[in-house]
Amino acid sequence: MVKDKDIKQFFLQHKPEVKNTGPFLKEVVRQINALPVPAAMNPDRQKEDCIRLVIEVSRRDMRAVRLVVGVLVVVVILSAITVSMLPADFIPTGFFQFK
Amino acid sequence: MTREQFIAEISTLQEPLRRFLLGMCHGDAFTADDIAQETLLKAYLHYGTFQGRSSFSTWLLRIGYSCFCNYIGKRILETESITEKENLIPSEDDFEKDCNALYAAIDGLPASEKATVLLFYMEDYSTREISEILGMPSVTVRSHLHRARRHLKKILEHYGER
Repeated sequence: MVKDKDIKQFFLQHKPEVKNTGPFLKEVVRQINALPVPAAMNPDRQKEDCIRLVIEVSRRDMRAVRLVVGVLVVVVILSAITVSMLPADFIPTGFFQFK
Repeated sequence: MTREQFIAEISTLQEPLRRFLLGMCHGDAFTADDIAQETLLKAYLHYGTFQGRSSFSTWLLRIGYSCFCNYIGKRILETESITEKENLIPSEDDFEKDCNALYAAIDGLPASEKATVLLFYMEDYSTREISEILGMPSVTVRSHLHRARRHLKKILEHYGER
C-alpha cells in the first residue's frame, strides 16, 4: 500500500535537476540591466515618494487645524452674541423710557 | 528593494522556479527556461505591484504559473480532461529512466493538479501558499491533491509490484 510519505519520497528521489544555473542567471541579469529601472526600484523615486507623502500628510493636518480654528471662531462669536444678549432678559420692558 | 537586491533574490529563487516549470513542461528544459526568463523579467518590470502580502517566492511562482498558462493556452487547460489520461499508466521505458519517472507519473494529471502536486511534494509549499500561487481556494487545492494522490498511488503501486 503506497502511503503519502512514499509519494513524498518518490518526488524527492526523482526531483528534476536544474542545469546551467550560471549561464541562465547571467543572461537574465544581462536582460535586466538592459531594461529601465522600474519606478518601484528607483531609490531617488522612493525618496521623492516619501517626501510627497510627508507633504500630503502635513497638508491634510493643516487643513484639519484650519477647519477646527474656523469652527472655534464661529462658536466664540455666537457665544459672545448670546452672552451679550443675556442681560437684556433681566431688564424690565420700558426701563429706559424716561417720562 | 533595489535592482541589485532583486537580482540577489532571484539568484536563489530561480532554481525552484525552473524546477517547477521543468515539471510542468514535462522535462522540456528549453521551454521551461523560456518561461522562467519571461517570469523573471515580468517580475522585475512589475515589481511595483508586489504588495508584500505574500512571500516573494510565492509571488514569483504565481507569475511563473500565469506565464505557463499563457504559454500553453488557457483554452487547452480548461478543456483538458482527466478522463482521457487518468487510467494511463506510463510505459516501463519511461519509468526506467530515473529523471523521466517523475514526469511519467504526473503526465496523466491536468495542469492545475500537476502544479499542485509539484508544489506540495517537490517544493514543500503549504496548501494555503499553493492556493495563492495558483489563484484558487484552499478547498480546491485540497481536492486537487486528493485526486492527484489517488492517481499517483495507482501508478506507484503498479510499479512497486514489479
